[in-house]
Amino acid sequence: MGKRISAVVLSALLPLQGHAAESGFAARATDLRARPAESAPATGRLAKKQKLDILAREGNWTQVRGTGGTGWVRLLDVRYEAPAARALPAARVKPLKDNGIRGFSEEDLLAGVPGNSELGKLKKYAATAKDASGYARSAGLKPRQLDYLDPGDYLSIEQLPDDFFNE
Amino acid sequence: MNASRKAALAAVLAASTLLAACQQGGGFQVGNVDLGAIAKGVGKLRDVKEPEEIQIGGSMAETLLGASPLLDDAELQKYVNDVGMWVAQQSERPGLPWHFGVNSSDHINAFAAPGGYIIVTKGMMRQLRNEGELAGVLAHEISHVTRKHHLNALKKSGFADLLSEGVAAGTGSKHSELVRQLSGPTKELYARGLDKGDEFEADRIGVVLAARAGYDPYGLPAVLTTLATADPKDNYLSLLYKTHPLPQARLDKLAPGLGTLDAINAPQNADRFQKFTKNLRVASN
Repeated sequence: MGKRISAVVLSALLPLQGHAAESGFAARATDLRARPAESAPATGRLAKKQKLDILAREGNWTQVRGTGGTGWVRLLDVRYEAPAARALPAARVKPLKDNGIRGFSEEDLLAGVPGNSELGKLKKYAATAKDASGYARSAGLKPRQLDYLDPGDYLSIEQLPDDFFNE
Repeated sequence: MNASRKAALAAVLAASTLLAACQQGGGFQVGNVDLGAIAKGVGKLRDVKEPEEIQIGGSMAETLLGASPLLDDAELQKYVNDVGMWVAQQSERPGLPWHFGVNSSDHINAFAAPGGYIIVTKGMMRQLRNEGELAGVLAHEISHVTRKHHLNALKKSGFADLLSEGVAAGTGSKHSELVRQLSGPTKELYARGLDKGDEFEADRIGVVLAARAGYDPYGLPAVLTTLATADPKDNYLSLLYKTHPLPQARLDKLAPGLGTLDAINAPQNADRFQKFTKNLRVASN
């Protein structure tokens, strides 16, 4: 029994993956659950906007740590901190054009001068379907059959599939 | 036949009737708009064949790369092509010559062009945590290609004649000439963005493509939960925010359908992603 408890405590303290926790907050009030499942018992309650450390993600569940302890909440119920804080401070304070690299603001886009060589470079990096499939399987990815999601509202004419009238 | 299909069918029938009337009757004016000319244009647009689509897309990609060149990191570029090609194989158009690239921009964005050209910014790559999120972003862009969103947008904005007569018919013409002709419309289109409905559709299709490829479907939503908290005035996000619905609106649209994919859990391949993107996280890059 003692062994089992310590294992539970340990897993609650450690992030599942080897990455540093990220900060974030609860997007809405929600229950904190013991495991990544709707059926898991609630171990606490998060208030809207409550600050959290986000430790890991498993599918649609994130493991979070807040003042009420560690537990699991749905991904869509949390928000990661603003991306500004994730970008590199050094790159952000330096004006982009100082190092000769253009950005991709609207102004940069409109001022761009196309040349042939970049497209040629892009083509050099292309993967074959066979290579890509082998690479995916080497990482344990298994293809699955899944239907597209129901749009949930009316389609516009442009969105109709080409074979719409064939059924 | 469900309600949405019935409504769509009715809309299509109405449009077809109008189209036929316009084609038969010639001048069918509403205000300053000559519906006959539009109908003629729309008729021609359906004729953009795949080789033409690929050539048009290549020219558009050239313009996008003219604003920010590819990042000089062959290993990263090849990695993104392997992941992207695998996701594209799950779509209705696996045989397109798919090309994926990371450009040098610190801005946070990603772009697709007809025929299978997809460019992700270095800034976007820095926001991602793992391969599952990368697959989600690429799958969104792949969906724009498979649904021909940009091609249709070009058609709608009055480049019908250019596409059907000047450009598409001239597949033998020089690439550089095509780039020159399409440069203005391309810049305009990517500065303005697609219809919001196209973006929602690309999200909806994208999460399924990523899941079909064996990733968990929450990679793209995870990116959106990150972008949702950004300062809308952040210069690095200005173009993304201008051309897309707000991340919160995209999450709200996705949420009901995502619920049906709840049971799927799958590898995120964080280690492989971190290995190939480590150069992006050093200050000198």
